[in-house]
Amino acid sequence: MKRPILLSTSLATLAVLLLADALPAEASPRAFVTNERDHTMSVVDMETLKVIDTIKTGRRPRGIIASPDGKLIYVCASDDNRVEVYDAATLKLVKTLRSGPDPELFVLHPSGNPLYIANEDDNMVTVVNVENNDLIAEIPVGVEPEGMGISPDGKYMVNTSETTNMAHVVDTSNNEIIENILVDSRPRIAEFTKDGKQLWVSAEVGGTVAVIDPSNWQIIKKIGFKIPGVADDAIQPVGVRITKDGSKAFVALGPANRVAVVNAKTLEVEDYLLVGQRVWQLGFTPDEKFLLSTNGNSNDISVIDVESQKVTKSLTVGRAPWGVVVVP
Amino acid sequence: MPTSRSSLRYLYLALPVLLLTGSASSFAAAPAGGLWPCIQRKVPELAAGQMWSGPPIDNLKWQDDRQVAELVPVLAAQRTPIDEATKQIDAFASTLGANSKERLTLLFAGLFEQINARRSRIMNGIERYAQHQIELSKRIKEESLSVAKAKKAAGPELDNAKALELEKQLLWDTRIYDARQQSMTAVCESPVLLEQRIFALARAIQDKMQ
Repeated sequence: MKRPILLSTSLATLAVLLLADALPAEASPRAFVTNERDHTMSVVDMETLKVIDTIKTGRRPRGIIASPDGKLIYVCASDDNRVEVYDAATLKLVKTLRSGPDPELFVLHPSGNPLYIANEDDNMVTVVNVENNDLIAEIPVGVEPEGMGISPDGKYMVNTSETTNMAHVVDTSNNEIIENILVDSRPRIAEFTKDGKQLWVSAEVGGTVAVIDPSNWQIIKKIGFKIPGVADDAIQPVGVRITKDGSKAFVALGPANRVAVVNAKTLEVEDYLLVGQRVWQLGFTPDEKFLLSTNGNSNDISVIDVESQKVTKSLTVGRAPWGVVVVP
Repeated sequence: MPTSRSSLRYLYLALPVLLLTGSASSFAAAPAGGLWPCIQRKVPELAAGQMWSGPPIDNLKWQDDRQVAELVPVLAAQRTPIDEATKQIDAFASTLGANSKERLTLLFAGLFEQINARRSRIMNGIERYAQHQIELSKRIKEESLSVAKAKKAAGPELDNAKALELEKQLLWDTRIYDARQQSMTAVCESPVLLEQRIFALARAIQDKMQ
């Protein structure tokens, strides 16, 4: 009676081996970078740090985000007035979504649906169901809406308006504005900390980042930046990313060509890292070991080692790289 | 169309020369501010701190270092491809000893000074270019009024000939205006190209200072 057991064990081993063989090797994380002037998206293998593909997108691709599971990539094709959805594995265009005019930045609800899109040209935030492309709402906001953030619990969506100089807080249960926070000139990005206890808003012309307490929507502190040898008006904060543990924040400073490293506990600037020209947006790798910056004028991305706070590599992509997202 | 094509070619060929050498006599003097025609924000002077995080370069006498002084114009020249310039920087760095950081800093100081000065001259040229376009557009407006007036008064053979002559001048000026307007994007890219060049050179030099 031993033989059948042996046989079944061997068959099971064979099956495991065959299955293992059939499964693809574990893919390394990939970065997706929108190239505004090339109308393309570069795909970067984060193991080898090489561009492995360049995908043609709609015209003037800017904002880029991933679905919570990292399987879909959403791109704002600004001049085609639509959102494009790509499969992160096959790199194929899956579908397009309505966006309202001139979509620039957007944010997904933490559940993966709906999508909130800032429409720079008509002072609206468009809310779209990503499953069926239905228009859920159009929320009137300030002039030239731009940055989009959402609280980790999905209760609050925040939109910044460039000309009104405000961060508008929207209750996502009824899509009504519940608060308007005056920040410095030309606010660009709204980013919540992972614990939802702070909201950071960068002001490009004002040259500051406002740290806001969402329990009362009051500004706790405005972080300013000073770089020896760089004129104040060249310091233009745009992209903001904060580590999940809330210890460090990184702020892209536009034509200062630096990324500021901020101690997110003390809200003090610790360092300025020289990256590339006109650094715009930032994106962490899923393990947060690295941060990527898009450098619009030097046509490259820089790789920052988060722990050592060093720039380890710069990598040429397309013309005018704008946004970046990294998926597992 | 050969006239149009050749005039366009002339304009494109003449562009860098116009931007760098256009004198106050060829264009009316630009009033201070308000003439910048480019979508890019006007930043009259670059700051060294934007380009690199090495030592300060104020008041460095890079011209006193013969090797640096010879290398600077070669690397600053746009005809030297960045790859080739990087090789030359590598070669220069390999000859340096204990004071390599100081001498690489001198090299950056020289390149920054030269490229920044060239960029400032080009930016002044762009404003003169914009001023010239404004004047040309005013002239076109006046010419079109004259043509309309001449046509309205047309009767005798002599007047018709005058109207035709005025119309020819109007068409020619419009053609020049359009061609120059189409070149505006390329014109506005000139300072950006120089910023990219100095940044790439600074990065290559800093790589050798690690």
